[in-house]
Amino acid sequence: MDVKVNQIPALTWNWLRMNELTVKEVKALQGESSVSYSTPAGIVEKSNQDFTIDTKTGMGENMEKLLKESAVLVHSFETSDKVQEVLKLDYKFDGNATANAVELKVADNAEMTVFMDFRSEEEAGDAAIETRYEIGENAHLTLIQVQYLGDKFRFYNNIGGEHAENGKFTLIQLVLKGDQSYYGNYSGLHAKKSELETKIAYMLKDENFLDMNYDADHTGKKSLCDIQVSGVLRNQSRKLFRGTIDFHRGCAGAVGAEMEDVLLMDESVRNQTIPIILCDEEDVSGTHGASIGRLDEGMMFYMQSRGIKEEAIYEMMAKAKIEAIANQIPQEEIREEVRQLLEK
Amino acid sequence: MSDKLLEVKGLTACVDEEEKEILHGVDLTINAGETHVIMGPNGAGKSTLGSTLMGDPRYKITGGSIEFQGEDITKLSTDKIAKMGMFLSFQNPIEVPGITLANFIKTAIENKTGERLRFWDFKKQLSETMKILNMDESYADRDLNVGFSGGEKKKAEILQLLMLKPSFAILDETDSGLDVDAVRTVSQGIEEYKKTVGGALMIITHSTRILEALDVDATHVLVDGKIVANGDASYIDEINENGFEKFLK
Repeated sequence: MDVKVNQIPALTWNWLRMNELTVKEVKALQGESSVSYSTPAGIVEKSNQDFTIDTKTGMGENMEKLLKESAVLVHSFETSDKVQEVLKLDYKFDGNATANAVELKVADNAEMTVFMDFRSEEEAGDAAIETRYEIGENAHLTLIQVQYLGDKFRFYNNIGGEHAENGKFTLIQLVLKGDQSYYGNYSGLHAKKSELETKIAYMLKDENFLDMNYDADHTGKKSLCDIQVSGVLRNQSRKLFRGTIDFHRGCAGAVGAEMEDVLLMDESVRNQTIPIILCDEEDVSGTHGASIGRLDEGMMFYMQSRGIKEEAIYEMMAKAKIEAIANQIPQEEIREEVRQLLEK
Repeated sequence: MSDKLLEVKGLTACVDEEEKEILHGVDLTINAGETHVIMGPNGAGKSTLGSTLMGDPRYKITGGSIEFQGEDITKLSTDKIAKMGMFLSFQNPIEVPGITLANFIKTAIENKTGERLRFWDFKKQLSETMKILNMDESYADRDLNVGFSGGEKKKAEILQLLMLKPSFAILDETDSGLDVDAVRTVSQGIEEYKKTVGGALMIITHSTRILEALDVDATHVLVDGKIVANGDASYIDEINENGFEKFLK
């Protein structure tokens, strides 16, 4: 079946074919993939038949429906404490089309950090995960996701959530390996000073494809969002990034920024970006910027003048881009894990 | 007998895009271990000469030849020239976000030697060399030249010179924009290079401060893309006293 996902909130010219994506021949999702974890003290785990958090998601209703049809249990992790220990969820996807559903709830004044490590046992396969979150007043949820899948793997990663006043969501995503990746996040910044901080890094090669849709939905006064995307495209790889900062009437004092930095390693890559700032409120500040291209000639000469070959320079810069985002992960053990993956 | 290291014959070069000739036939010979000084008024082509020798793709060589260590390098790529042992200390070192100074130097050495460096051996050597240059060791873990002051950038260039140990180094106005203390430190670094590596130097400069502790073998005056006069170390004082007027047409 074909499934439309990642639709932007306000459509632009149709002929650009960037408004949404139709994923062809999507397999029906059957059963849960294996996930191993141990729940740190202060976090309560529950299993439910359905999601209890009502929110939009980045990839949209069609993806939600697909996951719902898989009838997998929703694993909910909740806390009312400031939990220092990281909740690490190790996913091992097998070759079948699997689904996982997760809810993360952080009560008022609480803090929780979740690390999702996506790996596959097989080179090929399909996997989907939907994560919904709810962040209470003055609470902070950090979600770190690292994707390192087989070279023929297709992966759907859908996120959505809601923030209470002063509730902050930090999302760090590293897409390091896998054939076709579909990513989306929706953040409902409906409360005063609610905040979204997103840092994404990706590394694509061969005929890899990455499709992204990130929606910061501002209605809360002085709400904040900052979306940073940094990536490297090699060979014939393709990427489409949609980033929407949606300022609705009433979100006075809101500030939103999105920045993209893409290193194009080969001329045959395809890089598409659609940064959108929708504005229905006067007292807001929204910015977007992009740095896309090959390395500056002056920089290249400087580095070559130390005896480093062009290919080695590109490799070094590519790694540096991913590391720059990975280095923002607060936990040293996760940073080290990423470093080891980059060395592979 | 002198051991010829660099021989430039009738070198002409232009800016690649503009086709405007900047070097109009430069002849220059530098032997192993010698220290040569290139002086000249602003816009004479001194930096262009340094960059062209290093294979800067922004300049197109339109005539003449460059021989280094007995090999014609006129058409050789920058990384290969560097690997043979040539080094350029940049007048305006480039900022490279994402690559730390330490990582950059380590990668450069490994590329040059083709061997992986043991981390702790490298770290020790880097730390000792930074001490010679009065460099705060925290700079090693900072992104290359990003947010460095002018003085720190120049020290980082000399640090690379000492770590990479080239047989021939071009120092392009390494002393410009530095205060007295920074010039002294950089000069110490250059002395250390002469002492430990014994390589040849081509120093492009406007001032004499950086030359005080060095034994200069030859001085060349570059005017309008051509070397118009050659002399010994005493030439430097003469030029400082009387300027370049007598060399200008």
